[in-house]
Amino acid sequence: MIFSKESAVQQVNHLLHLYDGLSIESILGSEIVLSGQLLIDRVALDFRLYKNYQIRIVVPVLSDVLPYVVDSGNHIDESYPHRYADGRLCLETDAAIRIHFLGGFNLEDWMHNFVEPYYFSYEYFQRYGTFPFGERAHGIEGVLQTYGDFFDESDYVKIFRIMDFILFGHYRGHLPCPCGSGGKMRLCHGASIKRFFENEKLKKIVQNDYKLIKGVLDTYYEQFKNTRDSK
Amino acid sequence: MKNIPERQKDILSIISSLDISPTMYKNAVEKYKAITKFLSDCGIEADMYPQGSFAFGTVVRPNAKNPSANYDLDVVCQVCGNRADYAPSELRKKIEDSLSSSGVYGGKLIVYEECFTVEYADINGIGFTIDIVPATDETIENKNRLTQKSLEPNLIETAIAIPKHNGNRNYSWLTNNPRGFRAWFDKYNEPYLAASRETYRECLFEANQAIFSSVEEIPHELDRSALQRVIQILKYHRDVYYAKYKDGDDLKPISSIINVVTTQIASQHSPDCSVFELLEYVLNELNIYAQQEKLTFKEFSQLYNNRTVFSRPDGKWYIANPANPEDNLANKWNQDTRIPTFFFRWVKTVKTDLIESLQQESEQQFRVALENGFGITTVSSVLGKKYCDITSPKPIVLQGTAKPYRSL
Repeated sequence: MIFSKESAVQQVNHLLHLYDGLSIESILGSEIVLSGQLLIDRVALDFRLYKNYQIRIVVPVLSDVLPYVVDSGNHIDESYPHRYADGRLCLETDAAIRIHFLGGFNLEDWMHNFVEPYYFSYEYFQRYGTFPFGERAHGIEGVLQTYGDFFDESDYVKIFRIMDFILFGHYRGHLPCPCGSGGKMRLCHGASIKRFFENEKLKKIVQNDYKLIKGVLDTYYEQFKNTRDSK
Repeated sequence: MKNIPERQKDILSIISSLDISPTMYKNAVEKYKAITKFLSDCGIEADMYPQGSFAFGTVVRPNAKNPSANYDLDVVCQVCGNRADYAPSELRKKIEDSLSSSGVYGGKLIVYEECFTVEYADINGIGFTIDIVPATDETIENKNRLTQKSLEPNLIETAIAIPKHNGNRNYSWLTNNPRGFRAWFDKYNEPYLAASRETYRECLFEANQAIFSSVEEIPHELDRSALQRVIQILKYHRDVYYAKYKDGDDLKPISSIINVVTTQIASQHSPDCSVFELLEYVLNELNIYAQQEKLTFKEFSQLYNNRTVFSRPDGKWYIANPANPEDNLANKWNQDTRIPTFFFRWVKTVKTDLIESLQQESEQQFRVALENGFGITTVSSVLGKKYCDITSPKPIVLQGTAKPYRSL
């Protein structure tokens, strides 16, 4: 569960205070919906975004579903690869957002660190043809990149090995690092992976993504084997 | 309530502030004339004349990353005789040796492979450099060949040959025609100048009474038409825009392309118009040409058979140099396909920043568009805090910022 009813109401009220163009559209037992104009005023790389966007924000209550944003004003071009057909914005991988919420993020942080930068990236990309902060690859590759950022590692095989070890191994600083480098864990990836062994909720997030990646890899190997056998 | 004429006036003030000042212009002319005299005293009979933006009256202060950078003014040093009289390296060396030996120029001289740069001290904090390009007349045979190919044969008479560096201190001749180019530009610019000349000169006189004692005394090289202003706007916006890219200098459209395409498009418009009417017309036309990125040459020609400023016969981009029929200004566009893509994306950005922004209800939004287009330092130095509200933007820290994603 990301928000209890009480914390959702409290945080939504705080958002309404920060963004005076937004108002509550509906409050149901399972979700709170906000809608209206979001004024974004952010700057990076000598480019300033100052613009209003018509949006709808859905905050699920008593649920593991992450809050999400719908581009109700149709500001995002259809050709942009990071918007779902139903208008939902692909802010980041679920893992990246979930792990931040576990780390103490609230809705204001989420707006500040995911929603506003999303629009900034979009406008910057439309203007310059490049992503100011990079973009995730689609599918499991983007998920691996997310964990790569947390583990400070770019090699997909090593990232997957570390995920496997988080789920099935134990943290011992003096033992060899699961990445396969041959170095001691504490001198290799130890500092960036230790917290994943200490927090069951974090481990659960890794487990879900591990299953997803493994499922895709298993299907791929199965198809590869069948193709090879039939030749 | 938005005040569009006021906003337009403010954009023009920014561009005027980037233009060469009458004092600096006067100073620069004196300086290159003094170089001509010095060379003559050394026994080199040469004709020196401005080329590029200095000749076209479209100078803007360079280097968007450093708004207090010096102006670069290009001057051709056309030595008597023609290319048959010298080897290219010999001609170059002749000028280099004279300038290096001078007590006046020797210390200020920077020798580049294809030009010599003389740096002059700052006046009111802004200096300028004169880039001297060695040259001599083209041969009659080459001029005849060019004349036969040219759609503007009367321009060819002024063709020159300049020493081109091929690496390893080897030089060959390259044909160029800056005077022909200028004559071509002047022909199309004249009706634009005529439409606004009196008013413009009177305003310039009002602002510079310490330098000129009458309107008549202002050299005509300082007149600025709507066409010249549009070219200046495009050049400065380009410099700021492409400074975002690591290899922006290789990707940005060269000034000759901006001059030629803007002038050709402007020749289809009534000269009795404002800078912003012309700017919008030019940008809309360029947006039409952008369709050539996707359409075949035949498809584009069928849709727009009168639009020939850019063409892509055989899939290759072509922009004619009006003063040299053997030159394709878009040569680089065919070597790096990013160049045309970036160019047409940039054109859209100019329209957002300088045309669409005029219609924004919010003053702050207009201000932000200007800052994104011309750079915050340049805008603030002219407009101060005008159009700013009290809020300032929150910075986004680059490290660890959210990256957009899409699951499959």
